[in-house]
Amino acid sequence: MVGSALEVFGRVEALDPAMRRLRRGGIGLALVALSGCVTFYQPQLALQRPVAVDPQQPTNFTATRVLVRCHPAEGVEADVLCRNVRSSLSKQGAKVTTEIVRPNARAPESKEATEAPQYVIDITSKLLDHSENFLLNVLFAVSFTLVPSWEEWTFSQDVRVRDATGFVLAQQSFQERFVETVGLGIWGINAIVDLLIRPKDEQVTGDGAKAEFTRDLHAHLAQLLHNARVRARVMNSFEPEPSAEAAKGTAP
Amino acid sequence: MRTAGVIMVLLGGSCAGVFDPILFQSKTERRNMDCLRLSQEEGAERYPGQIPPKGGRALAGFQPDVMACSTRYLQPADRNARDEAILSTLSLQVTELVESAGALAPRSARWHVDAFYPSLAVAQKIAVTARTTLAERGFSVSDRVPTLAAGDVAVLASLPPSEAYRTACARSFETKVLGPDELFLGLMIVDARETRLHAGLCEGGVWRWLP
Repeated sequence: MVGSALEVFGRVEALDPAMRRLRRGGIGLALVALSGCVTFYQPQLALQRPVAVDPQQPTNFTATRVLVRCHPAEGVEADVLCRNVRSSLSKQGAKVTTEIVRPNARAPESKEATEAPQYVIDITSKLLDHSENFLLNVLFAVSFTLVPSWEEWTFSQDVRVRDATGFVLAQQSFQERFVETVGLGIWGINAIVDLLIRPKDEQVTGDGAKAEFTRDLHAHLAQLLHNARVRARVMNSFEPEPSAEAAKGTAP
Repeated sequence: MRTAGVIMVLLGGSCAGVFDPILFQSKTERRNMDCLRLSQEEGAERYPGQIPPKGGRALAGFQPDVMACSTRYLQPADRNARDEAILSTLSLQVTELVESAGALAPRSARWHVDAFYPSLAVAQKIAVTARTTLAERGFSVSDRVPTLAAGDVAVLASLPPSEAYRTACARSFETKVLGPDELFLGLMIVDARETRLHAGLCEGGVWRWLP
């Protein structure tokens, strides 16, 4: 997705005459520039709020059975999202199964769990907006990447947590924006600022944007699941969570 | 000269990308904004004068959208994480709960509201928001918070939430702290790490949790 050098290379490849000039100017220079992308991440809706659950705690969801269902959409890698969420929740003690929900068929990815899930997390991701500046891309090529190219993506995730009967226990929408600039000039300036001035968690030249978004999303998913568990307890008049046998056959 | 002119025009045209504000903001500044993506039409309605109404491009089928961002008054670390998470969604959460409660209760009843939250300041904000929301919807709301005798409170404090609210409700009705035409709406959290409020309604000595 964002920050992928291959994607960036593909985009520049489309500018044929400019690329030919670049090649003449030296493939080495182009490669240095193309690897020099700077990505900015801006949480826009809910993701910037703090959470009360520590997602690093391995006992947050001990023995909780969760089914994570990811709904694919244009510009979103649902399988990668599902895999990452599964890994995050598993580290917190949950028994997680994942499913990519296709329009006409369901293809369960994992067959590890045999028990019905207690909670079902539906994640619907969407690419809301993608824009780039054609003029900048032209200048990017003719200036030998000294003028940076610019591209932005805005994504949203709608998350719903249901119990085994399908009752919605918690839901939240998230939205975030990524701005990616590529070019030797902007990368060089930011690399120097990162090296000399910016603290490590503020740096923009590495994989920081992706890591920061992942951290935010996983923390909020943990908080949502925790809220859903508490709500389920309240709705069941604080009865203990249903056993595996009781849950079987009622799952959606 | 001609080439320089062309480059200047191209640079001017591409300024929108180069001067994206995000490029000049620190991480803290980027995280301290609440943004909402709107259609241009909706944006012009909400922010007249700042966002122009639908122009010729929109009429021709091009649907531009705008992003409305506001900087939050408090820095993220100024408040406890749970308090911040609850207070930043307080209006939304309380409105949902109040509407749910309002649908279950008789229109003529008199409402008493209180919130149970570890921080007294936050509890007061929650209670005031709920009272205001009820009053805005035309319900009769009392400023008085029904208070049980000290002995009852001591017993209730030792009970888990599953029992405490039910018992307090029954006791309030028995001791006539709450009358037959009075309702008590309680808003609370029942777990130290949750950021979602719950609500319960006490009517005629019977406590029920709201969905």
